[in-house]
Amino acid sequence: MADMLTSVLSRDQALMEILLAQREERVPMLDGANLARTDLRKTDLSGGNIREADLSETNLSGAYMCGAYLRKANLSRANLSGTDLSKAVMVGVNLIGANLRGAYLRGADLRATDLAGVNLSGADLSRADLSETDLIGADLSKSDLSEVDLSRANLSGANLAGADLSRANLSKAILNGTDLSRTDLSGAKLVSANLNHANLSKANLIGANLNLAILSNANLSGVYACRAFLRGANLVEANISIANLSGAYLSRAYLFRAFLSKTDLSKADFSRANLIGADLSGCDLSKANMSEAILQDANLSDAYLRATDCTGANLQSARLTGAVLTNSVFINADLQNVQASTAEFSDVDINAFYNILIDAYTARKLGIFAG
Amino acid sequence: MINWEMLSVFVIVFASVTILAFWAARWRPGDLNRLQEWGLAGRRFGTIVSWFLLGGDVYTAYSFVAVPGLVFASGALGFYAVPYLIIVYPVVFLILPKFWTVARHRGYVTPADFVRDRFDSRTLALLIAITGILATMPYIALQIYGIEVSIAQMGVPIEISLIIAFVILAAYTYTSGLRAPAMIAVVKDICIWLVVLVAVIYIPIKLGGFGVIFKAVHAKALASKGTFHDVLPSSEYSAYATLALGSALALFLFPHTLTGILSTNSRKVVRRNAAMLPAYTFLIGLICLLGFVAIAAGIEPSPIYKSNIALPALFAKEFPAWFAGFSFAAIAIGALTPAAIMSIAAANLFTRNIYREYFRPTCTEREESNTARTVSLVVKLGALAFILFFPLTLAINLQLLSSIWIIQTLPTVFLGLYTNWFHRRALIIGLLAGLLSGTLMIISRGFQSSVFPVSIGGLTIPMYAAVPSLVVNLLFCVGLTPLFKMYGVFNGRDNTTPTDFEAHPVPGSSESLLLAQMTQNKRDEVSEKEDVLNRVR
Repeated sequence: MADMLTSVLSRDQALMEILLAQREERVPMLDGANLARTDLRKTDLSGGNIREADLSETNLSGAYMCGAYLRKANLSRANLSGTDLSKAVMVGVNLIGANLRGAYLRGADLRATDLAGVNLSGADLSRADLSETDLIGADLSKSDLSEVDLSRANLSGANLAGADLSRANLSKAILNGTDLSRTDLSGAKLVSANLNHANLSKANLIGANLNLAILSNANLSGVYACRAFLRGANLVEANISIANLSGAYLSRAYLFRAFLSKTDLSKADFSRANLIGADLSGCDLSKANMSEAILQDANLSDAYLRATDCTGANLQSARLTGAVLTNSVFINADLQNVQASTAEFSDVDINAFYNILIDAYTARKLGIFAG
Repeated sequence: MINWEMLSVFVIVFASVTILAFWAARWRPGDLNRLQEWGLAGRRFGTIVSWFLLGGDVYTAYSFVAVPGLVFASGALGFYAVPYLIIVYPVVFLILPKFWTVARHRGYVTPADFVRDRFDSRTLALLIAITGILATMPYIALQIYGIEVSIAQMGVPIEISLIIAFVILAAYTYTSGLRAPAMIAVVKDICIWLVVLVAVIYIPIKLGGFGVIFKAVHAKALASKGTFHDVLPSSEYSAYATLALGSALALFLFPHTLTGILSTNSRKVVRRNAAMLPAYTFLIGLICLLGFVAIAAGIEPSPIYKSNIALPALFAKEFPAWFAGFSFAAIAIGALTPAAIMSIAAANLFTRNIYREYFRPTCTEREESNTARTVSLVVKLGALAFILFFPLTLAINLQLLSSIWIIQTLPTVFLGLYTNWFHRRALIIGLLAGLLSGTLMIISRGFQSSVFPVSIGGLTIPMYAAVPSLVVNLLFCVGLTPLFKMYGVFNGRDNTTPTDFEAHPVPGSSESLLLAQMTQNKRDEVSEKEDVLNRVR
C-alpha cells in the first residue's frame, strides 16, 4: 500500500503547487508530478517530495533542490548544470543523457543508481553515497569526490581524471580501465578494488589503502604513494615507474613482472612480496624491507639498496649490476646465479651474508664466502 | 468497585480514538517505509494540524495531572507553568523557523542530524542523541502514570488496563507513525478543552463561586504556613522565575517537540503556531485554577498518588459519572498523543544517530523505517515496565532530571544554529559538565526538589537547577573554545552552508517564469481544442 503513488499531478497542477509552495515557504508535494519539458530554472524545490516525478528534458539549471526526495524520478536529458542537489535522495533516478556539469551533489544519496555515461564533470559529490552505482563510462573528470562512498560501484571505463577522491571509499569497486590520472586519492580506501588496466599516472595515493586491490597492468607511473597500503595487492605487470612509494606497505604484494624503474621505494615494506621478473632498475630501495621477498629474475641494476633488509629474500638470477648495496643484509638469502660483480658487494659486511644460499660459481664471481 | 457508567463512556471514547488512529495510516498518504514519512509524516502538516499536534505534544496528560497537583500542594508556585508557557513561544518564534529551514534543506529528522553536520562530530551527535533519549524516557513513563491516575478513579484493575492501553498505543504508532498522534491530537484537544471549560464553569458554580474557592485557599495557606502559599512569597521569586525560564528554554529542545516542529510543512507554520499556541497557555491557567478548586471541594491527597490525584478526584466527586468517564478518557487520550510522539522521537534518534551511524551506515530506507518502528515498540514497553515494576518515585525523580539534562543541548543545538564558532570538543566537555553538575544538584536535594540553593558571595539564591547547570555548560563552551583553537586542535568541517539557513536560498524569483508557463499551457490547450473543432467542421 505504502509504495503506491496516490496522487499524480498534471503539468499545470504541478506548476501551481511549486508556485504556492514558494509563496508559502513550504515543502512542495510533487510525487508523481508531470513536469516534463518545463523550465524550472532557479526554482526552490528543496526538501520537496518529488518521488517518481517526470522531469525529463526539464531545465533545472541553478535550481535549489537540497534535501529533495527524488526516488525513481525521471531526470533523463534534464539540464541539471549548477543545480544544488545536496543531501537529495536520488535512489533509482533515471539520469540518462542528463547534464550534471557543475552540479552540487554533496551528501546526496545515489545508492545503486544507474549513472552509466552521465556527464558529472566538475560536479561536487563530496560525501555523497554512490555505493553500488553503475558509473560505466561516466565523466567524473575534475569532480569533487572527497569522502564519497563508491564501494562496490562499477566505474569501468569512467573518466575520473583530475578528480578529488581524497578519503573516498572505493572498497570492492570495479575500476577496469578507468582513467584516474592526476586524481587525489590520498587517504582513500580501495581495499579489494579492481583496478585492472586502470590509469593512475601521477595520482596522489598518500596514505591510501589498496590492500588486496587488483592493479594488474595498471599504469601507476609517477604516482605519489608515500605510506600507501598495498598489502597483498596484485600488481602483475603494473607500470609503477618514476613513482614515489617511500614508506609504502607492499608486504605479500604480487608484483610479477611489474615495471618499477626509477621509483623511490625507500623504507618501503616488500616483505614476502612476489617480485619475480620485476624491473626495479634505478630504484631507490634504501632502508626498504625485502625480507623473504621473491626477487627471482628481477632487474635491480643500478638500484640503490643502502641498508636494505634482504633477509631470507630469494634473489636467484636477479640482476644487480651497478646496484649500490652498502650495509644491506642478506642473511638466509638465496643468491644463486645472481648477476653482479665483486664491486657491487664490496661494501657489504661479511656478517650480512650469514647462512646465504649461493652456488660456488656465483660466490667466486662476487668474492663472497658464505659463513 | 468498578463504576460501570464511567467505564462505559471511557471505553466508547477510547475505542473511537483507536479506530481513528489506525485509519490515520491512510491520512495524507505517503510511503511509510521511509523514516521521514513514518517519523515526520513527510513534513506535511499545515497550521491547524500542527497546532493540535504541538498542543498535544506540549500539554500532556502528566501536565493535566501534575500542574493542578502542584497548585493543590504548594499553591502559587504551581502557577509558574503559565509564564513558562508564555516565555517559550518567543523562543519558538525566533529560533525554530531557522531550525526547520536547515532541516528542510538538509533532510534532518533529528537535532543530532544537525549537530553531526554542523560540528562534524559523531561523538557530539551521539551525546545529543543519548541525552535526548534519556530525557524522553521518564516522560513517556509519566504519561502512563497520567493514565493510571485517571483509571484508578474508575475502580478497574490498573495493570491490565495499562497493558491494554499501551498495546493499542504501540500497535497504531507502529502502523501509522506520526500521523496517528496528529489525528488523535485533534480529538484529544477538543475533549480536553470541553472538559476544562465545563469544569471551570460548572464546579465553581456548584461550590458557590470563585469567592468561596479563594477563601478556602487562603484558609489553607493560613493553616499550613511555610508549605502552602496562596500568594507567592518573596523567598520563592527566584525559584519561580528560574523554573519558568529554564523550563521554557528546555521545552523545545526535547526530541518530541522538535519532531512536532519538523513535521510542519513550512517555517511560516512554525511562526503561526508560536503565535497561536499560547491559547493552550490560557487552558493551562484554567487547569492551574482547578488545583485551587480541588482544595475548596475538600479533596484529600491519596496515599498512593499524593497530590497528583487532585484533578481526577475532583472530577470523580463533582461530575456526573458519565461526564467523569468522558473526562478520564480525555486525560488518557491526552497521554497517548505525547507518548506516541515521544516514542517516535526517541526511535528516530536511535535509528538515525546510533543504528545508522554506528551499526548500519548502508541501511536502506525500509530498514531504517522498520528499525524505528521496532525501537518505538521497545521504548514504550520499557516505559510500561518502568511504571509496573519500579517504584513510581523513580520515574518522577528521573522526570525532575529530564529538563535539566535536555537544556544542556542548548549551546550545541540552538546556539549552533547561529554560529559554528564553538569548538566541538568544548561543546562535548560543556555538555558533560552541565549534565554532571545538574544531576549532582538534584541528588544533593535528595530528589525532593529541582530547586537548588546557589551561593554567590554569601548570597544564597534558590534556583531551578537547569539554569545554573546551563551556566556551567556555557562557561566551559566559551572558555575552552579559544583554548582549543589556540592549540590548533582540529575542529572538523562545517558541512552546512549559509544558504542552508536561508528561507529564500535562490536569489530572485522564478514566479514569473512559472506563471508564463501556466499561461502558455492554457493557450496551447485552447489552440488544440480549436484545431480539433476546425477538423470536425
